[in-house]
Amino acid sequence: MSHATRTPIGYGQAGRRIAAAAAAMSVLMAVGGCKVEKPLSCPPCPAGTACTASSGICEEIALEPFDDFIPGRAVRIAPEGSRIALAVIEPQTGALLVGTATPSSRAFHTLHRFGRPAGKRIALASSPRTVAVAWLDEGGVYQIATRAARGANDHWEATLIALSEQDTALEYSGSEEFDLTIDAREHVHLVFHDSRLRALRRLSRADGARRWQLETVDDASSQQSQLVCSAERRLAARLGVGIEPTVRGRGEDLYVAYHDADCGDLRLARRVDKEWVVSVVDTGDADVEAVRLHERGVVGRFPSLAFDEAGRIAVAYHDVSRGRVMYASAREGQFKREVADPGFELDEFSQQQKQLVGAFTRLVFDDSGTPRLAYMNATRTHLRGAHRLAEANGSGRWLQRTLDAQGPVGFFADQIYDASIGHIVAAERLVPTAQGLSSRLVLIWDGKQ
Amino acid sequence: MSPSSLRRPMMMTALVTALLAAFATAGCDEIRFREGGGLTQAPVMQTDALRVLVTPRGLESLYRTSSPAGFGLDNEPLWIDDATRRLRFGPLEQDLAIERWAVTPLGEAMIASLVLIKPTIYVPVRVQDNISVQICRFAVTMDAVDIRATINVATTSEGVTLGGASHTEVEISGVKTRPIGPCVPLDGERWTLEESLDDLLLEYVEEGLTHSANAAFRDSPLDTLGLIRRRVELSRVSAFENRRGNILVIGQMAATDPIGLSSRGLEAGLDMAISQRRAGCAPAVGLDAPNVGATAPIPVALLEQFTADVGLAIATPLLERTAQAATSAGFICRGLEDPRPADENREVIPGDSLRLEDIGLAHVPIGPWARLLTSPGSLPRLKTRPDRNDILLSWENLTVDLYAEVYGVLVRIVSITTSVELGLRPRADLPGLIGFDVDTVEVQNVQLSSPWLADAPDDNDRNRWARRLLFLALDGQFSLPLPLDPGTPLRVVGSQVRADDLVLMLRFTP
Repeated sequence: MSHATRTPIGYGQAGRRIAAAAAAMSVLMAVGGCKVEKPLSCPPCPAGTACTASSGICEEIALEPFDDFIPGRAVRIAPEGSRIALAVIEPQTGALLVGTATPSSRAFHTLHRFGRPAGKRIALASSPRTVAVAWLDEGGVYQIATRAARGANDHWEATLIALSEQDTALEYSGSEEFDLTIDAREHVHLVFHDSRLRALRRLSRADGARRWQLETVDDASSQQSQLVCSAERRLAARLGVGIEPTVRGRGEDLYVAYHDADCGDLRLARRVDKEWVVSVVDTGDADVEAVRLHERGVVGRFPSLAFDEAGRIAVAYHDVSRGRVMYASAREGQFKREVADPGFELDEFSQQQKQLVGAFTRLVFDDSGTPRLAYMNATRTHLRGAHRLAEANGSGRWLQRTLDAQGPVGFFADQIYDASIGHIVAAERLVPTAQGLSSRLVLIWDGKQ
Repeated sequence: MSPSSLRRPMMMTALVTALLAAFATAGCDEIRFREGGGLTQAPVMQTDALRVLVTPRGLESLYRTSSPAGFGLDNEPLWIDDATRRLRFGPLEQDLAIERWAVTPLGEAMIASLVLIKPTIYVPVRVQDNISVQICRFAVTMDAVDIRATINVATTSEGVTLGGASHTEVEISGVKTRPIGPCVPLDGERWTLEESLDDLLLEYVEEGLTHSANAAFRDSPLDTLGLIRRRVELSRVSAFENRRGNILVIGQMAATDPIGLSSRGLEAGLDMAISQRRAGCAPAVGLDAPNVGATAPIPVALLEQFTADVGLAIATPLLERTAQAATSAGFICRGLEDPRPADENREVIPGDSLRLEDIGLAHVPIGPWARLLTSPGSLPRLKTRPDRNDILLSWENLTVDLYAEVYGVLVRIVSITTSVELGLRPRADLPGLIGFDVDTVEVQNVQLSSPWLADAPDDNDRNRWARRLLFLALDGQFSLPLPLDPGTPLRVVGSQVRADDLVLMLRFTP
């Protein structure tokens, strides 16, 4: 039987006790900033309580407010009614902060403290009923914390997706390559790169259910196509598939775009009628003769998925070989690829300079159906945006502009568009100081910081 | 099979590679060659821009190199009829090991000779009468064969060849013939011809040796040396469109004294023209290197000093024009083109070698590997400095960007733009090419910019660090592939920088 241990996480305070027996098996967890032995069989605790370290009982807790400068490390944002939900990592203390923001206010709480080294990525998702944040714990297992949408930011309920001795069906090796979504049925899906199997896998849980399901989406073994690189190359690279996955649901269907690091490709997995179908969207081999003889291109890093107003899927991603931003949109069963930003700039001496653009690419559609991209210009370390001008035939040209040029900025770019709150772009700025680099959150609301 | 057909394929464009990869720092997989190429303007030829001298010793080696399988003996069948039978000698088709080649200058010609030691030549003899056909085989063994001929240079529509052998002499000593196995039809009782079988066999073999000598002495030395006498287009292969420029190279035999034999050996001069299509990343200015200037004769003594077989002189204006054309065609815009992981990537340098602390960037959390990008803001100037035996290459405006991984993303950490003077010294220890060590680096007007800096470094630290980064970026990057088929066993053994040209001295290796 699969087993999931649920625990709200935060700073413990004295409170009412809910009895539970501690199980023998335990994993190391960081609770309230300290590493303690956490029994795996800690019982489910009601919202606002936490299971204490050694006794296996739940106590009421409240998250500690965070009032310092808000950092921007690994920032993720999600719409939440008239406000946005945020999650960031505070790199100095290793704290995972969760927050809410409007153009005029921000409130953050410490949800979790990582051991060292601090986590590198987090994932955030929202639905009309739920806000969820996921991270990789020190033991290589994922935790997902949820709270009610539009609810208080200091009441979270966390779940450790752990393996029990009795159930090897839930055995996995988590990595920092993961993403999260909540579908229309309030089912939570966490897709990730399994570092041991080098495969893309999915953990999912139905709303209210305790049981997590684990399945392999793509282990690269079944794909037989001329587009796929050779088995020799895959064996030599041994990096696997499922890198930097991005997952989105539409109706009952689920879509995951991810990087195949062995072949240097962009892949798309679609779960339709409970079956996964994997396709290769881009191999990076277009004009490869002009690129470098006898080599495949590397594309598909930082993929980002979205659906246009007609429900057609589109993926934006980074073309590593050419240092540019790509946009692929589904048309009549095939992907049409466009260069959204080639990364060229005419300098003051009329020389065309190459900028590496496309890291941390994020795609949204606005309410007029215009695709909008946010990404990093890694040469200038600027936050950059692009959108496609509408044209009758749908093949308008792309316009790019710099969103933020103050210092190294643009890391972990994220963006959302919601008709009720507008277009919001988030990223990390690194401020050089005499003591080193200081992380800052950048939030741009409809073009204004 | 004739010796000429045994020669390995010659790399016709090799010298072009040499010229254009010089100062271009590009690997061979970053250049694409195409014979012909679109030319929109009449080329301005630079007269006598290249000169080659192949010493007599070098010509011996040239012949040896051109005939790796040895002496290709062949002869058509010879038919002889006696009263009742028809005999067919041959055909001959056999490779014989060459003991040595020798070349002796003789005015405007030369005497070439080759010696075969103890060759054994197998001659089939077919005997046909009204009833049957039988085949016998004979071995003709000799103590030595000495073949010599007077060789001239012939210029034809197909190119320049050594050949036109006249007065071919074949000297054979210690001849013996023996049947291989029993040969009843030709035993003594049945032999009816006046001339003996041994004499007929020897005559047939001698005829074959003389006939084959013409082919053995025929050679296309300029092809072997890769000297271009046509139009070749080189394209810069790059992932980045703004680096894709082209260079057109046109070579032709010099209008005056194109090629000739003398007591010094074989000398040839070439006129060259270079034009280019500018890459977007290159300075938007035209080439301004002078188009005049000629090579000086290559002293034989200089080659003897290095025991060199071949001398190659490249005029300084051609070098400068090559450097400018390579810059304009995008060959100097380099870096960030290899997308492979660090353990396979040819561009990476260790991050801990960068001394970022010297300029106040120690706090930047870079990954273990860094990469450099170079982009020229001007066309280079080039001078030969015979007093220092080096080449001075200077850019008024050269930018080097340092990239490293931060949070898994390759980002620019710092950029320097400076005027730089590089002293390049040829080195002769690299197989297949002549490299240039960056001997001296002088920087002026250094501008350093980085969004990662809390405080600007002081001028001394900045200039010292910039100079060091230029060393890291450029040292070992300038090379001149040998103007030869890569399979040809020839290597650079020395070089001399002269007032008007650069002389490379090359030696064939066994």
